[in-house]
Amino acid sequence: MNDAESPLSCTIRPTKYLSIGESMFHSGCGVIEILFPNMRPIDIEKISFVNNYTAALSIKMKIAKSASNQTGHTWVTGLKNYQLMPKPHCETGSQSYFHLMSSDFCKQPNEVCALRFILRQPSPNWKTFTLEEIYVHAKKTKDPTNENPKWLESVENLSASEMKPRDQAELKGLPDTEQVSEKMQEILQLAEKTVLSAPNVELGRFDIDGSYEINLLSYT
Amino acid sequence: MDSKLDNVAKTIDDIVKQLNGTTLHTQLKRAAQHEGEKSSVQLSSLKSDVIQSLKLSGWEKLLRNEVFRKMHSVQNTLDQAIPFECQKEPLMYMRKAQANWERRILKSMNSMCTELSIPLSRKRPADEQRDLLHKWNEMGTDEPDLSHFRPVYAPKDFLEVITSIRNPNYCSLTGSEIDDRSLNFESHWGLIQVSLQVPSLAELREIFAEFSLSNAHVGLDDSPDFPSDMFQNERNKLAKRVIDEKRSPIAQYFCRRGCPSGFRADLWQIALGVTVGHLDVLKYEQMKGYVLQHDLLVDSLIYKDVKLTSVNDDYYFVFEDYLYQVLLIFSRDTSVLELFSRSSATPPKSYIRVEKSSENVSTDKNTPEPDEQDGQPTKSTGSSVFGKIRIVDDLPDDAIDESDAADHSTGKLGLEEFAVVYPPNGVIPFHGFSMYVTPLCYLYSEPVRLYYVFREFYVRFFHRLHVISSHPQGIVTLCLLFESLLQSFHPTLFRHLQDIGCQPLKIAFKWLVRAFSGYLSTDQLLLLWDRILGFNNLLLLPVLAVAIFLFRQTNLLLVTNVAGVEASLSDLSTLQVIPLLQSVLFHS
Repeated sequence: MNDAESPLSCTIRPTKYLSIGESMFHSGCGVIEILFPNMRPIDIEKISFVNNYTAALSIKMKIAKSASNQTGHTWVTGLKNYQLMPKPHCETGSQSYFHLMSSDFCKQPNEVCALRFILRQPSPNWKTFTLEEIYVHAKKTKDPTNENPKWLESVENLSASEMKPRDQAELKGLPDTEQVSEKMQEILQLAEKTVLSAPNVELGRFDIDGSYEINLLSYT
Repeated sequence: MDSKLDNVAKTIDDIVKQLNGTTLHTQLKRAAQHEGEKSSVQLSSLKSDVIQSLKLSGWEKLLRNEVFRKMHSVQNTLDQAIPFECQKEPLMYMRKAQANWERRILKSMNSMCTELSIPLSRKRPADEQRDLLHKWNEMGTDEPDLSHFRPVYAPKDFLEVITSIRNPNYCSLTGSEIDDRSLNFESHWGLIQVSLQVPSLAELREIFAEFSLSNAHVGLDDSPDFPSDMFQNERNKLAKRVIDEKRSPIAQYFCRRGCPSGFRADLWQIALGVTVGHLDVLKYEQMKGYVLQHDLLVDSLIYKDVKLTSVNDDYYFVFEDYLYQVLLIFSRDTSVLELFSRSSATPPKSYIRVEKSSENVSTDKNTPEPDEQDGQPTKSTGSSVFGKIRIVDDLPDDAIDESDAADHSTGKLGLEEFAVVYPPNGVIPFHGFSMYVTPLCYLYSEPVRLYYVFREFYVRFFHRLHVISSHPQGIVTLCLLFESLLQSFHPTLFRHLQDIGCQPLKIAFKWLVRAFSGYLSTDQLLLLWDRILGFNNLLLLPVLAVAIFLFRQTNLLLVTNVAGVEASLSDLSTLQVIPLLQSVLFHS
């Protein structure tokens, strides 16, 4: 997924834990709110985060009611009880990296204005629980203003008065561009093949030019 | 479902990349070319014909075995977004604990190096190389002065470190976290205070289903008391067929019920996917050359360890020479470094020294002759190969860091192109390390075969036994499984042992770290290692440890001091492994 955009810069509010009045008790439930810049609706492609002892995650999305001519927003459940730690008392999954794609959601995360992450950690073993390094990636949209430069367009579209590139080249005494590009492609393919078939097996030498005189072991 | 397919696709991709450029790859291409050139092959069906003929000639089997072997070592998903260290070990406090432990080991090595004025690595002069080559097959007759050497660490030091690992985010039930100075009551009864996930008894029964009482096992049902046509003959015949078939997954599955002694060597070799062709022999000879060229400090540690442990053992002292031939080569084998990509450990590193006279970087460094005296003199030994380093006599313990080391040497510190791994395989042996090799000496009489089988065993299983990690089969999980199983089977015994001041793990730990080598009798140990290989799982080690405690419970409950407990559990040589394992897993 190397063509994903860089993550959106969104405001992530610190985790708020559920409590009753002023009493200190482990409710095992926390909320993280995420707001998007300029409050404009986003289509979410991917959400990635690092777990920090959260057992299960639910996501609520604030969807803009642009359809049916209604104004205002509605809160919709996007993800219900997604297990991050299979056993909340144990360490498995407690500090792992997670990616949630739009296909993992119950409802498509389109036109989302804000997100609420509801964190649950029923086990009393852990002092705190939260999510870290939350990044939201939006779907890539095609830029309609991006036009191809004129010279990339098909040769047939040239008007009759303009000279075709092949004829221009012939005048100047250069070889046919089609043939040259074919040969270039062949060379490129051969080069790719040799690079790919290079063996990645180590030779097994541990010294440098026959010398293995070393200092004390390094601590870093 | 999609993510599973994605994972499979990524695994296939990884394995293909690893196989690309290996000897097998070249041989397959050559064989395919040979098949394709045959006149019976038509162009229209070229691909299917070549594939068919490769299957018939046995190449496909070799490829399958190699892929099966790689599957054990391939990583699950190398996600670019996740930092490499987090993929090796997801828990931060475990990474820190392992890093601190490694630092301690390096400090110990460095201080031994400076105290004894022995270089970490030294090029051997030609006559010494010739001597060593002559006595290569009888290095045990050598009696070097090893009195000043001490093992870098012993299992009990390692246990201390493991038991002191704490999760900073852990809040024990009875502890109060408002007042930090209050006592933090441990909620785990045993020594391990980390909440790693361990399998329950039901899950263990599923994993080790072949141990159920309805299955016959080698080591149990082939004893002389039973008529041999009931099980033993059938087993021998089946073993012969499996060996002829030469398929790794089948051989590995066969090992689950034990291997008949006569066939064990071949079965293990097939199950591990180890082939010893003439190229492997050449590689062994090449590494032997490295041993002759350079003398490492680690070699002395290996000598010391062999003399202290294996030579003192009644069953294994005869194999002393083989042990040197395997372990010295093992330290020069850089292919072992690949295991560090899936282990939480990092190999120790150092930098090449350069002569003080040359200011610029010269690539043709002439290593000095031993009788050459130049550079600054060192301590009393005056050994010139060490003459290029100024050694500070009294290094304060906490002052050893990168900048201090830079002052003490003329090395190319910090320049990555002069960084090397020390020892070349990245593994610093500890007290008892040679016991990983000794049982294999009963199976393989040729050093080359012995070496490659040991290397595969180490890379697949044993390296997890001395590294701090949260891996489901790492030593920390094994210890925790031992304690939790013993507590659930016999809480009275556990509390009794605690009350008399003897934590059960303190006794069982040395069994676990060595995989019982040197504690059980050899035939029983080989039966145990059959199962470890067959199930591809080290979880049997704590199960056996629990079984031993339960077997001796009547005695243990009567004992009232630590010495009594140790005496009661000191001799395991009469124990039978398979009935013990069955009793814990399936005897309700």
